[in-house]
Amino acid sequence: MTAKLIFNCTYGSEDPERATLPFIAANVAASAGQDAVVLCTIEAVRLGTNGGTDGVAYEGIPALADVYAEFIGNGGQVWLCGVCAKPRNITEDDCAKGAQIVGAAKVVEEVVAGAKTVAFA
Amino acid sequence: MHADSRPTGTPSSPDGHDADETANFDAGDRGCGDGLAKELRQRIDAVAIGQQLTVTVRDPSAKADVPSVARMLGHRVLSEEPLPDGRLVITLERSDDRKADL
Repeated sequence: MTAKLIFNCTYGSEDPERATLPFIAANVAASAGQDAVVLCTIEAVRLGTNGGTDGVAYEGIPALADVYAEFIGNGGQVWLCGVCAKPRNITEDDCAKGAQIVGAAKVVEEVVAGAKTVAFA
Repeated sequence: MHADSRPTGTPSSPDGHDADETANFDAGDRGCGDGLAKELRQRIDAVAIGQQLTVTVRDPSAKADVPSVARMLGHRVLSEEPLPDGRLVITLERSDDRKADL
C-alpha cells in the first residue's frame, strides 16, 4: 500500500489563505502521482460540503473552488473530521464530491501504515 | 501451542454474558469522540477467537473508524452492509488474542 500524504486544514472561510494553502500543496502532491488527502478539522470541515468552497478566495492565489475541483480530479481525497462535523450538523448527505466523513481511527491507521502528515498552514 | 479454546454447547464470554449478547454491538449514534474505540475493543475482547461480532453504527465517522480500529487490533473485517435506514452493519471476526486492560 502506498503511504498517503495527509495535509491538515484547520481553517474555513474565516481565513481564506489558511483554508486554501493545504489544498494547493495537496494538489501538487496529487499532480505528482502521490496518494494525497486533505484532512479537514474545525471550521475546515465546511469546505468539504456542497458549496462549501464557494467564494473562498485570497487575493493573489487561486480560488479554493478551482483548486478543490482540480485536486479531486487528480485523485485526491478530502476527509472531514467526524467530531467536528457533528456539532456543525454536517452529515454524509452534505459531503461534496471527493469528501467523506472519517474518525480519528481511520487517520491513525494510515499513519501507522506509514502515512505522513503535513501542516502547511 | 494452545489447545482449541472454541467453546462447545452454548458459548459464553468471560464477563458472564452469553455469546448472542456479546456478539452483537449496537453502537447507536456514537461516533469518534464518544468512547467508541474503547468499547469496541472491550466488546471484541469478550468474544472467543474465531467468533464474530456484528457492530451496527449510524454515525458516519463510526462507519470509517470501526473497521480501522478492528484492523489495527489484528481482527478481520468480514463485511460491511448498509441498511436502508442509513446504518451500517460491520461484521468482525476476532483474530487476535491480545487482551487490553482498559
